[in-house]
Amino acid sequence: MTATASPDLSVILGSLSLHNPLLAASGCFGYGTEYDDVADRDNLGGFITKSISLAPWKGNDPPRLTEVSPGLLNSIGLANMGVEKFANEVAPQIVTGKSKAIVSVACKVMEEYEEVVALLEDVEGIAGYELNISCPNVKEGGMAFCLNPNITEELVARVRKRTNRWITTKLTPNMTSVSQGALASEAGGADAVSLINTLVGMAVDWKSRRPKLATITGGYSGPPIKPVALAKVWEVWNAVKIPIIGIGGITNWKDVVEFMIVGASAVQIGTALYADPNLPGQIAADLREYMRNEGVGSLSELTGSLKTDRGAMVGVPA
Amino acid sequence: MKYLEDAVVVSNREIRPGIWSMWLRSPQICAATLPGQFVHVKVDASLTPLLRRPLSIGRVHGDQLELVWRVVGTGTDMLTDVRPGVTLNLLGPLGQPFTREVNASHRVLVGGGLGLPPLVYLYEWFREHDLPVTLHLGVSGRADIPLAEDDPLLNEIEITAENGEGFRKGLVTEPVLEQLQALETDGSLGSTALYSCGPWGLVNALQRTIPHSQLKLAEVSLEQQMGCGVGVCQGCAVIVEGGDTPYQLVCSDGPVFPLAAVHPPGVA
Repeated sequence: MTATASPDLSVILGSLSLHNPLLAASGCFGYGTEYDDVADRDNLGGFITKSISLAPWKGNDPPRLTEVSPGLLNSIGLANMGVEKFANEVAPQIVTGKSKAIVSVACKVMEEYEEVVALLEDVEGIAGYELNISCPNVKEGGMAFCLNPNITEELVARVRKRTNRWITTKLTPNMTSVSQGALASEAGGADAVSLINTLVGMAVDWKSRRPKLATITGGYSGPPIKPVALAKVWEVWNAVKIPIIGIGGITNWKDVVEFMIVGASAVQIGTALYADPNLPGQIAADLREYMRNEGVGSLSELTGSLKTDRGAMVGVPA
Repeated sequence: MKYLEDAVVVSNREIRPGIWSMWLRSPQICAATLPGQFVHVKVDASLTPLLRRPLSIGRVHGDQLELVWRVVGTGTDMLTDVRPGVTLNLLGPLGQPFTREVNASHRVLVGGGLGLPPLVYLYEWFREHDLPVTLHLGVSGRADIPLAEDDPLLNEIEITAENGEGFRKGLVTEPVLEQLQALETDGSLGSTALYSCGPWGLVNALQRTIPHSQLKLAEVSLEQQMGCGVGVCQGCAVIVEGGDTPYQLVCSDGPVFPLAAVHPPGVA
């Protein structure tokens, strides 16, 4: 094999280097070990764990999930084992290998974010944190942290003081201007931003007149949200200087390339992993093929390479 | 050990109106599975349906396994178009199997409608191990029996049909209760194991009517809409008493749970 036969997929997001741009999205890859029997974790550049809170969370009442084909509506409610058990029992197993372990953190108040990160600082090998400030399925905290840019900035700044590790914030599309949240994250000291989280959605049974989720509304994900996600990434690309991780409906290598063209430096694969936990390996192979065929020397040259005649048409805050 | 296996379809036929039976050659999963487990089926390579479909593993004969389902939507309908020779990607075996109680004096299996297939697997497992076992099936009528008319098992199991139709007329809980009462009379109720799978109506009826706390073991296998099938998405939660939280996951904590501990969705 010559060097050109195996193109280098590596990307750099500030202080975080990934051997490829493919990350598993939070909530879609468990704590990191669940798919070990059937999928090689190292096919991923990294993975974001299920969101970890200070105390264990039980999640929402069932039913929590319904397919709205080809999308998925969920109201899991961040069910998780809590930071203590995660740090002691799970984290040591996921920091091995070349796939970077990034821990998602979701809490009800700012102090808890600081406390969870402080506790995780003792676990060697964690590559960074994704602050989940955009979950639509919890009553306290969640999306509320993202809807107010002042709170976003303060939260990031407070966590920034607790760690030298890489930090990204996960942003919601359920606000007028996602770039406000991105700018606030940047101002607070985030190394990157991740977007988008799920869109608020709803499904109803016409016959029984009942909602299909116990929480009535939930978060919509999967292939149908890709156009929304691309638009949000493009908006944020025109607003901030820190790297962007694109998320939303990715199912193949072309989706990855498109996200990078509109401004992403890396991507997260989410809902599609449920159908095929080996998808990242396939996409990585397809991306190498694409780079060979198109003469792309480095994936980073794609980032923000969208060709437009009229420039950004989206509202970018001055 | 779980596998992602491309299984070759050996046969696929409609055994009752809207009820299908498919046999697949799946050597890795067949070698690893136990009664009560399930496979997560990739119905089609396209994005529709988006998610896999969880189906109980029915009979396992050598390197072949049987899946039985009723057509209820797009995914289960698409499965009826699959022809022999085609491969379907299976993720499995998944979930916790039934407790294979070898020391019980009697084993009473109670299936309701499409809840039968995993119990057929368990029934055949006990039979292969020369352990006494009775399999009860409750249906509305003949059209709901998830066995083909030429299936030898049809004459081996105890069928109760609400419409009669040549079977015992009534509810399946009635012959089950009679059998348990007989076992109580001869002093062996406490060494009897009961296994069940079926709609919530059956689960609730069993919880209400049978003396499950006096049995050696009483288990139920549940179904729920699933995302991942392996405990990642936490979408298939059900209310089960006795765990760390009010909820347990059908895919990875279950699908088999203690009969007395489970609650229907929305009823805490």
